[in-house]
Amino acid sequence: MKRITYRLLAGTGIGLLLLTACADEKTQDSEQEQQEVSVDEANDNAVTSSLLKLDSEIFSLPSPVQTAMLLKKNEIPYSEELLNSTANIEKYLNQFQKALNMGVYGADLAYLSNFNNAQLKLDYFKVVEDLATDLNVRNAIDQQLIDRFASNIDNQDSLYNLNAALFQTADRYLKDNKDDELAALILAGGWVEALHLSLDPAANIQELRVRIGEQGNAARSLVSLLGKSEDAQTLELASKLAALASEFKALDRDYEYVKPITDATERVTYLNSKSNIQMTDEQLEAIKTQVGEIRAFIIQ
Amino acid sequence: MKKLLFILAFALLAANVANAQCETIADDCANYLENAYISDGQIYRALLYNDQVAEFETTFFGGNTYRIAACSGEQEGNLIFRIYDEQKNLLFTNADYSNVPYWDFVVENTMHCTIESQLDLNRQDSGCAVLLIGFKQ
Repeated sequence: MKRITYRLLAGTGIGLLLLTACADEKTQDSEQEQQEVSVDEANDNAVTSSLLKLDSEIFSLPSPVQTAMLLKKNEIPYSEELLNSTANIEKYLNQFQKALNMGVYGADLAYLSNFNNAQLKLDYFKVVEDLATDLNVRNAIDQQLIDRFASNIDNQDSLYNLNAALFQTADRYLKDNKDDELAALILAGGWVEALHLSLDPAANIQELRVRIGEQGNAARSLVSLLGKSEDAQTLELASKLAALASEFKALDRDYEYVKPITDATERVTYLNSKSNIQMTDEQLEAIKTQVGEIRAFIIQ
Repeated sequence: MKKLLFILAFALLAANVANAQCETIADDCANYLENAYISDGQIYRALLYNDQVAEFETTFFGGNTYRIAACSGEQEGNLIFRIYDEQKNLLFTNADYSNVPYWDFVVENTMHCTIESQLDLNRQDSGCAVLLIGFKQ
């Protein structure tokens, strides 16, 4: 069995394109046999190149919408000063800044979904849309989705869904167009902002403190991914994230496997393993300091 | 020169076909998340051939219910997925349930997991594999 850990469709050259063109159900005729020669060669090329390319990795980051939902659950009051001002959009001139801050504003928008301020939500949606336009992903976003945002401005659940749908569309479009690094930067911006939004209340709310402590894998994934970039700004960001990742690594975490229980009729499995994470006030403060520095670097 | 141009033109055409194939699969797969689940905002996709396995790590946060949808090709059940915990214990595989294209997971405590996907070679030997993760509102 050949394992292709973190190998993705995108960015692997002509050979892989041939492979994709050939890929289909198992009902192919003799022409396929000739094509499969190219398939094998292409796949070898893909595997080789994917070891070097940022755009060939699959990684997963927690959604800012999930953080917003957790803040809502804990009835965290609104605090406008936590947001990145929409006026800052003028500062973002290059793709690196635009992508990161599209993620930042998207996380702010998810946060705003918890509160009743229609105009502010529209303002943040507008900056997300503007940055999407600058990053050439706006055309991929269905106009109906844009329209639904305005018509559901007071519907919290719909806004969560629309926010997620918008960013999934951007993620997909950028990956289709071999811009995986931009896709990763959008996710990174959203992840940092979601952390920032939850750090203040985490001082007094255990559930939030634990959730923050559980972000270590996400930090390490980002460092690993962005650290392979050839762009100096991205590498600087990766370096800052590495310092944050080391703070997460210092946390005490226990994990105990418990056999899952599956209900096949309902198509559901209960994952019952136990985990626990301990974070002192000093460790929380250290993480907060690192996140503050990274966020300042992003929104400056 | 003509040969090179032909190869490039073919490659561009192939790229469009590839994207179209993946997009169609992703669209179909998104239907499994339905309205009750919010996408995590990402699309996990890989081009698989024969017995290749694509894998990535993710975190399932405690107190949440997740749905994983796995799709490849035009028919349900072409893609096998497996979920392991951080100690490599197998938590679930849809291969035990006829490669069902989606499954829900109720997570008690936060878990760092690895998700693997692989084509069912009895059904399909190459193609675009798409995995989506949603969480319950």
